[in-house]
Amino acid sequence: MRKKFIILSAITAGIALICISAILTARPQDGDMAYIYQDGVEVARLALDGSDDGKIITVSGENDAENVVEVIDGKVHMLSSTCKDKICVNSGWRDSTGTPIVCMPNKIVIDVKGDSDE
Amino acid sequence: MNSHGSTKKLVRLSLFSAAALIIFILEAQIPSLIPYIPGIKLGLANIITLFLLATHTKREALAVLMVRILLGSFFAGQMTSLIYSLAGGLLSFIAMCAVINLTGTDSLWFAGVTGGIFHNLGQILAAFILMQTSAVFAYIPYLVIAGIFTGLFTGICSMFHVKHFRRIFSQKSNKEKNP
Repeated sequence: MRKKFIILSAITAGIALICISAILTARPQDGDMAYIYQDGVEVARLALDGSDDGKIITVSGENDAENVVEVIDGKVHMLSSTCKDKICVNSGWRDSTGTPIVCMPNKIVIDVKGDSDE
Repeated sequence: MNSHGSTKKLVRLSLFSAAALIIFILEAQIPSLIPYIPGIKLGLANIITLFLLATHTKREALAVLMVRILLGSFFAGQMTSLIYSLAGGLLSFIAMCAVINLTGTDSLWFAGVTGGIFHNLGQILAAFILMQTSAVFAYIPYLVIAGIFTGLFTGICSMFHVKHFRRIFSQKSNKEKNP
């Protein structure tokens, strides 16, 4: 019983450590370009070097779905979305590689990429 | 006698389905704890699934899980959320069954952790299949850690649930024996 508890705790802690180290070692780089995907297909790209500042792009989908992407100060965010959960709008701003902004109901992904990875 | 038993079972499973559904819908009203990482939630309804896996059969637990996911998506979500709930729910159910087979029902917290991790992995997998974008895999380490903590919480909750449930039922059966 006690031995089992220790083994299971060790497995849990091990998985947690692997994930924490994966997050810490994957240092996000500065992003140059935000790629907007709809259904896995690239529909637009926005430069994050300042040249696209103030630009607003609207992506329309089926069933009146509409997502509005905005770039300000070299940072991209989801300005508005017709989806119900608004997770994408609440995901905030991105200016570096790492986690994308995802709108699952409308199948929109905003992925920031740097120079090195195309 | 047999039909009496199956009616009892039906009522009991319906009650558990209703409880799981209420937890599921109430939890959907809680705003996201960490909005920067989408998809992090406590998964409180999993307490019922874990509890049923520990005290009832796997088939009964699966039935309650499916009723909760289907009705929960109809009441609280959109069609796409049904696909994500199904992917997460079924993958975590399989993983929890495997863990309970291995460790027994006295280590439910670990089944909860496994369920939390695999629920989130299932959702990422569904997101990848639906959106055809490998970018979603960037969330895996974040969501695995989230799954460990939320799963630990629901797992410990279900251990308390099982403990109290057993006490109530042993009292009740004592009363039935000696009125």
